[in-house]
Amino acid sequence: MQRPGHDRPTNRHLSRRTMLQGTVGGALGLARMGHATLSARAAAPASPRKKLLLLFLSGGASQLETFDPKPDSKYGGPFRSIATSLPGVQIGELLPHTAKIMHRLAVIRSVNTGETSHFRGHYLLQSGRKVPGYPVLGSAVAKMLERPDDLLPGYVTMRRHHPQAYTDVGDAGFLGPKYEGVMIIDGNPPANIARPEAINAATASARDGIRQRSDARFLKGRAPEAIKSYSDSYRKADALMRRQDIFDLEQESAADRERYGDHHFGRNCLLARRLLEAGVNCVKVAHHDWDAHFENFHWQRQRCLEFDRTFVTLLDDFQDRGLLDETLVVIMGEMGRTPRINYYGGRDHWGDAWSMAFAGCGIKPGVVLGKTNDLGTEVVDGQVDAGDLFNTILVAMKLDPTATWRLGGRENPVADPAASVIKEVLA
Amino acid sequence: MEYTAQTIGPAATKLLREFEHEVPLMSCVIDPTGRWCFAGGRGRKIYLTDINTGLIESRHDHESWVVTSARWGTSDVSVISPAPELSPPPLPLPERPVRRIANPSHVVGTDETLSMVVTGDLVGRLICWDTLGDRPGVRWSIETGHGTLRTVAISNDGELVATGGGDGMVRLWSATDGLLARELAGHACPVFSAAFHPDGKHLLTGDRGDQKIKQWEYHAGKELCEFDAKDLSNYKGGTDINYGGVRDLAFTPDGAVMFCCGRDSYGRPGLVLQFDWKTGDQIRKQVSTFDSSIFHHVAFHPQGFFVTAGVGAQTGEIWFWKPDQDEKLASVKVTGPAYGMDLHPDGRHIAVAQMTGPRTYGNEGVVGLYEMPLIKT
Amino acid sequence: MPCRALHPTTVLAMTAVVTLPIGRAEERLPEQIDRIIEAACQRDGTKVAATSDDAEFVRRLYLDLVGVVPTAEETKAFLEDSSCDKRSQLVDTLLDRPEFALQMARVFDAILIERRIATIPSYDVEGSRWRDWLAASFRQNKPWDDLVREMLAGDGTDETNGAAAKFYLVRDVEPHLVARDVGRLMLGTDLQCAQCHDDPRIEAYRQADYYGQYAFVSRLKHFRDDEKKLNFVAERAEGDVSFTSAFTGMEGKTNPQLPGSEMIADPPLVEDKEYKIKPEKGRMGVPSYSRRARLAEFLPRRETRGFSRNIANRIWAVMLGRGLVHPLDMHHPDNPPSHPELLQRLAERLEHTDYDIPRLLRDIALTRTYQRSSRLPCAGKESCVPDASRFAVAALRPLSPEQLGWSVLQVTGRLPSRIERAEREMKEEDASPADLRWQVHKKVYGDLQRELEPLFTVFSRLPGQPDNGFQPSVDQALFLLNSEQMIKFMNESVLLDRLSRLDKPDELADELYLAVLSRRPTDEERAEETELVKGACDQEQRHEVVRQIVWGQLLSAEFRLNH
Repeated sequence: MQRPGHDRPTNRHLSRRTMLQGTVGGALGLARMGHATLSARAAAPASPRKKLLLLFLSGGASQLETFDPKPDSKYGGPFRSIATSLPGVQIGELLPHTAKIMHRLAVIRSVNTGETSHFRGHYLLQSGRKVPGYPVLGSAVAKMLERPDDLLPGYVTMRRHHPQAYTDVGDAGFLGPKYEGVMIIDGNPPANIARPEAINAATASARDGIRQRSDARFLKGRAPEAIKSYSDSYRKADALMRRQDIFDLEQESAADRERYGDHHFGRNCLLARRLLEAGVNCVKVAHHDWDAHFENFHWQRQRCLEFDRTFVTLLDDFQDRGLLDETLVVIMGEMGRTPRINYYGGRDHWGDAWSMAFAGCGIKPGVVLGKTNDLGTEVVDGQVDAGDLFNTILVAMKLDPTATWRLGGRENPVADPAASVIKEVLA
Repeated sequence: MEYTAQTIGPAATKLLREFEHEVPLMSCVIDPTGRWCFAGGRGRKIYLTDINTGLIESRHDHESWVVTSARWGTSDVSVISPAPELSPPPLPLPERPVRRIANPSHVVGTDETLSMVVTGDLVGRLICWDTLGDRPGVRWSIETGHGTLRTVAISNDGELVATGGGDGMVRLWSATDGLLARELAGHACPVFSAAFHPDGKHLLTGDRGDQKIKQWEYHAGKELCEFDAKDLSNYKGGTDINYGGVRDLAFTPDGAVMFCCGRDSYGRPGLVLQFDWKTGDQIRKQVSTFDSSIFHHVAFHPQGFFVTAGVGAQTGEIWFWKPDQDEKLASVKVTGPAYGMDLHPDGRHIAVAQMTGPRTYGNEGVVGLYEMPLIKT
Repeated sequence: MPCRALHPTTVLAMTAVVTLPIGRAEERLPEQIDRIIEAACQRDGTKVAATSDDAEFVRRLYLDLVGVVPTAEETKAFLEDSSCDKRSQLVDTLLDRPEFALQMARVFDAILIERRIATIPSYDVEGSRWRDWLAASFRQNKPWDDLVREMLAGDGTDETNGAAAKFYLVRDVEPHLVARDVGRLMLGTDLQCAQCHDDPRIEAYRQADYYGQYAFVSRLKHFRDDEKKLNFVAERAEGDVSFTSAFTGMEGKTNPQLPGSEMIADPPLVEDKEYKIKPEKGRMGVPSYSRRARLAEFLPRRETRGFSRNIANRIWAVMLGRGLVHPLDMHHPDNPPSHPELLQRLAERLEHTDYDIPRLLRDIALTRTYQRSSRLPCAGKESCVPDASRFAVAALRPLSPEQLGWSVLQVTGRLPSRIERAEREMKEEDASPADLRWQVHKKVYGDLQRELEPLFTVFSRLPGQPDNGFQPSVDQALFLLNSEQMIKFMNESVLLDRLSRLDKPDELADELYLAVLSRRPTDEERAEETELVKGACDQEQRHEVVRQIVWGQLLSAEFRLNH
């Protein structure tokens, strides 16, 4: 079924071909491709810069226990659905707080990515691509928002120490290590950020003097680029060492720590608030353990219990502090979960019909887009895929998805040109 | 025919009858009169089967999946009732509710009050049923209000119902009116199993994660000690929840030995541990050869053996063991993963709630009624 | 210094007749290289830089051929050597050192593995075993085509070459990943966009090409021997490849085919004879007909389009910091080589010498092009920084993580002192001197590797990503400034002890610069060091000042870059 206002025929082959012929209207034709260099910077708005907060439900949250409940269907599961602040819209009873702020969210119930591998899904949903090597959202957006005088890292990513983190290193893809997220693992500040006791301040400053004088001499008569960018990394290291406090949750009030919840996700969300306020542009917080192949209903409940309160606390705070006008909050995972329930009471990996949500800048609040069938096994209306989400996120942040990365004499579109912008959720 | 000198021969256990259900089943219990089988699973209904006629009535009293159930006298079935050759059904019904308690002085109830079944669901609805009349009726139904219920047990005197669930609390409810009697805090993770000790003083509860079984003096609300069931697979983090936990508890009628069951570790077979009640020491570990399985239930039969039921890789089996032998007495493959099990009060039959359907995903369910034949001596 | 006037190849030409049993045309490759490069510069008016001074050269050559900066003694010896052919002598000496094979193992580890980690690390060949295999291969000067053949043919069961299966295993034996990287790393063509459709931007990369390559490996899968805890690359006897274009909807079906070659048909399957060894639970099957064996047979040949050019281009990049085709995996018509004739010559040279990599490295090392200074020709006006693709000025290229790590250990003295100790200890053993030196270096580098792993991790580029130039990051700076590893390296430094015992300030400055930056200090620098040390009133303070200077210099761009 075609949803109104969506720039794409349902036939994917046809769609791509039409696009190549340049006949597709809207902001995303290929007509402009090739004109932009690494036009990300050109595309970045002058000011103020937008921010991105990605709350990543790692492992795959069950759409049926969250945003797309089917309580009386065969695969509906044990939980009930509840009314929300949007008349006529119900969500799972495990999200009572979220239900009260549904009018502030844009929810999509019709994500079809078809991807059922954690590894590929993590990459696909964050990069909008199946082909490997592209940067993930945080890295791409950090690069697009970057300004020469930035001192703080553009992208910080938080997760727990766990072998199955799925994405770990290499997230920046061809943008290179400079755009890797600064990793906060188990809430610990980045490695080596504090000057150790073995090096006193006098030593550190003498050492730095030697380095700077040496670099000044070395620079004479040589191509400056490499030398300057190396010096720059020390300048940024120094800035980060001076701003260690931005990673220190102890500086937040006990009341706030309590409100966000004394768990991994709660602490990281509070830290995310702190970092975004301090001037970091992109933050990703992974909420782990949604991968419930066993006893799904126990797990979805446990996860929702953490997510629901913390998420709403965060959204309220962002609103109160004016952060929400400039910050796009994206709630998604790498996949959903099967409607069918396996013998172990679990729901398995599922990419065909699941849900995600947006809030904040550039988003039209109170929208519920798309529909799945009665069993939840198929999208029947408003289908979107990972590429569409990626495009839409950029547009919501006033970034140009038709910009290109220049790589090896090749122009690589920042967002998949075969995908579309989901206008229905945009303000 | 003379039955008194006869014994049960579990080795020749065979399927007597299957009751087909529209949903995959996760629990079953046979009421103390031996007539009704309560079964529930993936659906909001509970199914009441008249074992004699095979007629199934579905009821809407629950609001979610019925995953746990208990009847009074669960841990102690009757001696073998006189029974003629049984198959094909109908089964003979016991003439009156069966009760046989290790210490009868604790029994304060009447047939009427003791003919009860309690069922719990995944949104916390707890229902107490009366089963003595023509049709089971609801004695009381409450919203426990703290999320999922994972286990229920009825005290030997029939006065209290214990529940455990997702929030790690153990709660005691009055069996008369469903009012909250006491809360026992101590478990750090969801409570999966509960059983009252035959001495009428103690409640035992096991949880998902830390391989400890807590002993409570429940009238005083005191946690007394812990049994260390470290040989059971523990919860290792992540979502691998089904690998771990103390899944069920049972006692010998004299209370001298406690059994608990679960699984060895991921990919390994189901397992039963025995503890000496007095010393608290583990006295035996019985590991099945049921591949990649987990034992969800254990029940002791007064004739000196015990039964476990489990779920393997999309399969189900029931196993019979002698307490003093590492090797099984016998095992029977059932139709599908066996999530629920109860011994019939007549001591001759076992009800097994299962999931059936295509590979991986159960779409329907059956309660299988298995018969343990008598052996002439 | 009259020697400077001689082109290095003149020296080579005098000896080459004796040492190199090959035709004249190949003898003169260094001159050809310089002619092509300089003619191109002349054509577009690019000024070329002067020849490097001896200090620049010695540091660069050590880094490129043995992977570590020279010791102070080695630098001094080279600077004081007055023989005319000392540069070519040094090239030969270094090519002959055991560290050369170890360095090549690191270089090719980075090229072939690209810092990847298998999804389940224990389902892979350990890094040390793999690098040992590479090092042994370079020590016996295994031709590149043989090396590739062993990698592609290997299922991991072979005694000697089992480690070669890492090429597959580190990629989880995922056929798409393997097919893509065979193309990128062995043929220089990245077909990743061809995987889902004919890339509209690069016409030459046909989807059929990709799937032709993919069909060689599509039947591969990982096999784990749980008992022995070993991992192998199994192959099924069946499985066809078909594809659909996402753009056109066109469908295709393909058998194995290399770019520019014929499609290779499978022999008919005979029922019950599909396998030499039938796969069973716990036993890896071996198919009667193996597509992988065909890949190993047909790919590493000069006839395969791109095979020679890819490795020629990569060797050039090892020495010059940039490929003639750049990025290295982007050989295609819209991205032509900067010097097409040169790439052709280098490829031919390899073909005529049985893919002898050290020989090509030697040829390049002897060119003026390689030996240019990194100082700009027009007194450092930024406007005259020539395009990197002209090779008119020596590139400022970052040390690889390994070059950086081992150089830190070299400078602080831990590496040379461990080698000395091992030489003393192993002298007793019954082995030839060459063998002994090999054993010593293998052992010491092997032992110290673990201490450097944290540094390698921080400085490595992203897994599976081609080298994207120099991108210094904050975490790297923080590592050099604050990490416990750096503190440990400095605390254990024998250099600091040695330097702080030197009384004469001039001598101290000389030794310090020779040790850390592989050159003598300028007068200005000497004066600066003297001033700094003068302030120290006792041995302890002196030690501290020296520590600050050494550490400060380790942080400098001059140390961080190969220049």
